Amino acid sequence: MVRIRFEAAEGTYEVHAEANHTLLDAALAAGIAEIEGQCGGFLNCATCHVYVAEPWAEKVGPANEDEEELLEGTLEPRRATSRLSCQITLHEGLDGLTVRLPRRQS
Amino acid sequence: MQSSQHWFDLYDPRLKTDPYPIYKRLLEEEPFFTKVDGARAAVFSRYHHVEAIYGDAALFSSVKPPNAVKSVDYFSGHLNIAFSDPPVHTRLRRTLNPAFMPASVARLTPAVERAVDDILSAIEGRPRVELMAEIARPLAQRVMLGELLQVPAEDHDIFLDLASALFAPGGRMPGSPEAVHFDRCWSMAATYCRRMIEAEKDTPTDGVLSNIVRRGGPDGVLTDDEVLAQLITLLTGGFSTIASLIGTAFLQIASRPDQLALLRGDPALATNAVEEVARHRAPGLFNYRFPTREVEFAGLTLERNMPVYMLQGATSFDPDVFDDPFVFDIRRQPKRLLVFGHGIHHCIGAPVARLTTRTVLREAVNRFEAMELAEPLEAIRYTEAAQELSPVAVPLSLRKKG
Repeated sequence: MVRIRFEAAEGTYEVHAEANHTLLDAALAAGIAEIEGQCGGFLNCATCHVYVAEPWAEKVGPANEDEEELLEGTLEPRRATSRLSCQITLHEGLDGLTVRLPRRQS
Repeated sequence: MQSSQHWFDLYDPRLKTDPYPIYKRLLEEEPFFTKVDGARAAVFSRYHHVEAIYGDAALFSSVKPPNAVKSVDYFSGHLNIAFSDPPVHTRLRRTLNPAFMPASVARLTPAVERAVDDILSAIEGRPRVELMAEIARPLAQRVMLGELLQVPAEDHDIFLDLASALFAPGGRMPGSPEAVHFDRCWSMAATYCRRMIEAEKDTPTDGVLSNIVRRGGPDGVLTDDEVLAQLITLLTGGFSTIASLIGTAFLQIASRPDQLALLRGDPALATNAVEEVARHRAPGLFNYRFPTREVEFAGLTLERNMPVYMLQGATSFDPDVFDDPFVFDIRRQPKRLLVFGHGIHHCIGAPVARLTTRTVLREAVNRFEAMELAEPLEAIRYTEAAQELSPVAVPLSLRKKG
């Protein structure tokens, strides 16, 4: 299991998720309303935006070219550590991962 | 387990007028084989089955095999993003994405609010209006054609006529009056679009068309025929769905005084209300895919190229996903719906439909202290287009505040 901390404006969610699932899967399974994932995790809608906490950014890695394009269209401003949670696959090395959530996705 | 063949009528009008008994029955019977237009087909209606089919574009193709599903072949074989698979789909989709991303849709909000203000102001002194003709369709046209695609109002009819010919029920046999009419409408719209494309090339803008014309992928920009296909799709595919969702939203809310009172008490519930409307009464009734090889799926052996129908409206009543699914409650915590599709073909215009519908619903509640259906819900008729849930007319009684 991989522990994840989602920090939202209204509070913090501590979630245990399976490795090999995506961060979006983990958020949806935990019922985190600040993540929408309208398209279901297919890199189409930019509604699963997260800000990776600085210490984790390097471990999570950069967005690829297709994700970069969609990150230009997120509702809340794109920052250096912005990622789409559907594109982050969880593994044991991300145990303790912390991400901050935009107030709204759409 | 190999389910038996069932009799199931995909075109049953009750799927539009009163689908709930059918959806209840499907919970027990799905999945099964049936015949649609004389062809053996599989039917799925449970959430996780439909989610899996939508989610696997390699196994479930959107490209129609020759002669398949002719009754709903709206685009008569012309290139269309909805009926494409990767890599063609990927190439087409990336040119449309920028205009429909959350930030772009947010920028559209003031224009939608102005359109709602204009349209409601024009009718607000009247005790009775016909919502579809006087509010829903004009608003949807103005948002999609005028604001998003920048087509002057005097030219909208070209695309309204084509959309009407595209989505008309029944076949278009070569030489039939319907086919001749369709070809004429297509030709007029295509000529207009080619002029739009030339104008964009001559004088670049920063609008939707600019992305379609210029945005290239690894394999270059779109060809002129591809640009034309994209434009025609946007110009005909969007506004009827938006108008349908608006019509359905008013029908569902105005016919439930308790829900209308909740919305009146907290207009911010309009966002949730639109989700609940779409969950309860999906704007698209069904969709279909074609297996790319023989496959065992959910207990059925699906043959290659067999039509696989997904009743996406039924998925919102799956008790595995939704608590008390047959209860309509705008306070329900929204969950991801499949009614706008899922996966690579997730409806690109859904955010615009949601924005437009919640804006007009919220503003109507603000302006009118009374809003009732002027005819019984049972008297409402729906258009005959097979896949679409769209009321023909929604007579509303209104009383302005103050």
